[in-house]
Amino acid sequence: MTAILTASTPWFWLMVLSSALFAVGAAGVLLKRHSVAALIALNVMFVAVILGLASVAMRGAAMAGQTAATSHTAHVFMVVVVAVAAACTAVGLGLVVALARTKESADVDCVNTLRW
Amino acid sequence: MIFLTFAGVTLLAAVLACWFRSVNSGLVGLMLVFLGSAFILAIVGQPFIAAVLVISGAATTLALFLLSAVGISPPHGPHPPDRRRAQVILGLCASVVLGAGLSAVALTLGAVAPDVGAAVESPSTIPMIGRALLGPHALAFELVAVLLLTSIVASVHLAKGSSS
Repeated sequence: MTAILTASTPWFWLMVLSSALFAVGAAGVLLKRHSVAALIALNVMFVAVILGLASVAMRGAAMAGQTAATSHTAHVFMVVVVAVAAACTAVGLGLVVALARTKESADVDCVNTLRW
Repeated sequence: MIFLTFAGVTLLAAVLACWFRSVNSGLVGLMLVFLGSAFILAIVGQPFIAAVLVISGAATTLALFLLSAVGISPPHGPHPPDRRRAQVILGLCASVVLGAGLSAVALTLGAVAPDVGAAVESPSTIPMIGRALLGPHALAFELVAVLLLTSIVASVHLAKGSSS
């Protein structure tokens, strides 16, 4: 364990940072009532995913001894995740506007029609 | 050291973005999260992803600022205290368990991997990413294009409402 922590492995610290960011974003999504604040926390989670993919790319490249050949899939994944994050935010914004129009509030707890 | 500094700033900004009650303050925190993450990605040798993240983050933050400027009324009226307390406890427990699990995965991967240090960055990654996107990963590229178009149509339809 000590060898891990003292080793010069940025991908390890990047993965730890990604885990912490994901947990913080998840807490925000679960605890916030304002729908725009939940969207902000969701974007924090997406950033965490991108950092995690960057960490995986660096790890795979480092284990292979070079970068280019092994880490391209992870780079493509990162670009796809950025695009999915943008799409998710766009649909979320539309949902927030629709929620504000129908319920006249941004409280996510107002949307409980499908609750069982 | 620089990496750890930016990591700390990013984590602090994320906590503030999720902590502030004001949406505008949270958006400033989100901007710092995008900026810190882009700096970190640039430091570890992935400038293309950093640039994409900055552009995407700028568009996201601008859209959220515009939405908050519209003046959507924030949630009013408190929850019943017992329900709110249970919600907070459950949310915090879930996020702590999630963070601990992900950190355990990171530690496991760190224990499995040899001490290889940082990856040696290739001189030009961007043309190779472009070739990969338009070559073996062309299907993913096209699917992303369709997804973005669908999300644009869906968001316009949702925001327009069913008044007609």
